[in-house]
Amino acid sequence: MDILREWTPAGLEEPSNVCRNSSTPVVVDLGTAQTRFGLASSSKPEHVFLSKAARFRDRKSGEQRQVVGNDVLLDQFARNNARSPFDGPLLVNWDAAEGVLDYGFELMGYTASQSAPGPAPVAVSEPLLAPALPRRTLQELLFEGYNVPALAFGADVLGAANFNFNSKSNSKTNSKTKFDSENFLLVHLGNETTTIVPVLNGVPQLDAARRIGWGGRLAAEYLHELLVLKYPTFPTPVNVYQVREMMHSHCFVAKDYKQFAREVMDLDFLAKHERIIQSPPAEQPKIDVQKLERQMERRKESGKRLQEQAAAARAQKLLAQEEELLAIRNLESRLLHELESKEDAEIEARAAGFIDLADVHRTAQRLETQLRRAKGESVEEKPPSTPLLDIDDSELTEEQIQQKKKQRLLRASYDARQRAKAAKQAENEALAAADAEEAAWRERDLRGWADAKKEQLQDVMAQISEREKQKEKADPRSRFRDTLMLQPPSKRKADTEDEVIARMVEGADDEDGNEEKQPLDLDMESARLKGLLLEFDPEFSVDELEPKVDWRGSIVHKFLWGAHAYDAENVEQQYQLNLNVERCRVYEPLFDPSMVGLDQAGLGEVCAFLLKQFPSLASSVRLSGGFARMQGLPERLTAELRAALPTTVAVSTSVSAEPELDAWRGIAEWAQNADCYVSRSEYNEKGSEYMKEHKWGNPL
Amino acid sequence: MTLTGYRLPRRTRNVKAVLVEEQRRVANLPPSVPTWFNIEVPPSVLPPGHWCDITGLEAPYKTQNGLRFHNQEVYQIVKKLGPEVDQKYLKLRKANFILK
Repeated sequence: MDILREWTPAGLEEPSNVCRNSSTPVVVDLGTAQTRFGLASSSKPEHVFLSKAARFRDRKSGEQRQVVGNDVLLDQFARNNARSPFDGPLLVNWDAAEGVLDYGFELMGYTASQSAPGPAPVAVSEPLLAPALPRRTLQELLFEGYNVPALAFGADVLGAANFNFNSKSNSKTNSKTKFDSENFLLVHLGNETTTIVPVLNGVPQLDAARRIGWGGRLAAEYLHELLVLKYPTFPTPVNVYQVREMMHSHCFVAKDYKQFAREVMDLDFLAKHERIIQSPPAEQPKIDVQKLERQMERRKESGKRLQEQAAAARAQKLLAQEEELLAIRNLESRLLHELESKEDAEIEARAAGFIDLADVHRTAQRLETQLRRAKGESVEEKPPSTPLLDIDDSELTEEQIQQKKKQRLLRASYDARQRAKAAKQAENEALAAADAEEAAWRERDLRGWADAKKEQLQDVMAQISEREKQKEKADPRSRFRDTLMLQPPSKRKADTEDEVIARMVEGADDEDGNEEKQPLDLDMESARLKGLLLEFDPEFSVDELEPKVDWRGSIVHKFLWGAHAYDAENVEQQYQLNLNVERCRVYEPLFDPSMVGLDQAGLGEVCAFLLKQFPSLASSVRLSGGFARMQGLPERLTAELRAALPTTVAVSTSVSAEPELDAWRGIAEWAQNADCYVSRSEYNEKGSEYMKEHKWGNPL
Repeated sequence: MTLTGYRLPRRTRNVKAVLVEEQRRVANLPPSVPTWFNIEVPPSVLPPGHWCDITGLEAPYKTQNGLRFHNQEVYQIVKKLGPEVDQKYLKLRKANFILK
């Protein structure tokens, strides 16, 4: 169990001002992960910080601010805005580069101005065989922006080679064979790339150098993406620095990944090899019971008030309707009895806003039914008067026949409504009877009832799963049929009449609803049964229905939660990351880059290829660079080389003691040699394209 | 701001531009001279391993869109993945479908 914390480096950088009153060359290792500044005479760099610079406008003061190095981790805003001078292995982001250089020189106490050159020459690292353009720009920046008196470049990988060439006994050797510091195969594992260079008699063989596009940052990002996909609903965000830390402290290189992948899901093995990362659960807000009660009370009261208001409004509306009805009735009786002619009555009715006299009557009736309904009285529908229906057509006039048709329709719809009503009532009664029977059964024998229901439910569930299977099977075929239909008719083969009919029949079958209706019923039925069981059977829970699968046999469960049962109620567990397969998976792309879609040979393959050319180097393979810190790396590489090389060749792999400092130390070693530097006057004369070749630097 | 107050002239320098420039620079060198480009490791001659995209275990099977999976149980998960999620898994090994 490990706690997931905000990651902060060991300490923040304090200015050392070692450049004051000193003309010792300053060595700058501009790494993609960390930048190292130090005096060439020191045994290790005075300042090591993250190669990150954040430039942003402060929200409070509105000032433009720049935060560099480890400081970017202190502030969330700075962390999110932090940019690296590098894109991949190449130096292209000059704003960030300027920030990093400013910060480093300031820590060192390096002073320069337009008129006065800086106190000491500067040696800077670059990638092996790096493109010339960034170097030229960097040279320009250092001469013009920092007024350095002299400048030298050297490859970081070759620096590491130089350091190991000079080292006689600074290694953690894992075998009896002694490391040969004259002839060795240097494997420099960086943040963005991994570079392999053979060194023969102390001379790096650049024409045999190889570079793999995989390194520490990419591995950490890979792990980050894997975790995001594994726990898509993880409650707290995990940043890439934390993942990096997780990778360094918990991941290791499997001696044989295939073997590991086969064993890891074995329970005992898993229990031993899983790592649980606990993120502190968010504080549950305390619930104030009294406050809740008060709120509830208030809500109830306001609800009551609303209800009262609504009732009052309803009563008022009813009153208004009653008045209206009365008025219409009065109008009607006046029109019918007080006025002399029918025409006058019609005119009067139209003046009152009705269509004709009949409309007045209809409106009055409609209002009356509405009122009675609102008052809750049952409205019995009167059968329509249909006197014409019983008279034979031959005795009727044309007009009357038309009316008879109308009446017949009215009659039929009335009958249908009555039938539907009766059927509904019968159904309700049947349901009530069934319910009563069920209730009686429950009273008598709850267990028996529950068991019977459960059996039914299981039956329904089985049918549902059967249906799903059928659907799945049918899927590709129907898709195929769709594509056939999508083709233009000319391409389709001419249908015979029989085929057309067959298809219509088939289609009709589909549309009949047999297939459509049944599934719906099944789902509703299962929901109904579940509801019943939940309501009446105190022992019933929904989990009971899930087919009982022991998590011990479930690969997915073990992958997600390791060798523990999952408890959905346990908040702590929801805040856990379980590392099991990932512990090795994250390092595996180095040996099989196809795992991350990189079309390159893996480290073992490349080393074996080179060692077939230089078999004498197999006994001293040296690992350097920050990424070389991964656990189990030398053992794995030895095993791969052992498998690939003839048995007569002795294989031994070792990691240098502080692999991330090798490059800086190697550069610091040659940086005291004045021959490597381009002086200011040379720069002024020959321009930024001019540089000097030396043994541990890139060739022109 | 640098120590002397010098400001680097603004120029667009993305990785692609740097590499194109470098290509041009090394184009006339004999192929035996090591450059940034020719030290890059060539494709592997070994058969690539097949690993489950979800769990990282051995994966003898794959779905129609190329997602590899370990067994029947993982397949139940794979089946239910949304179309974007399976592309995310495929993207991890750059096998995702890219619309151009």
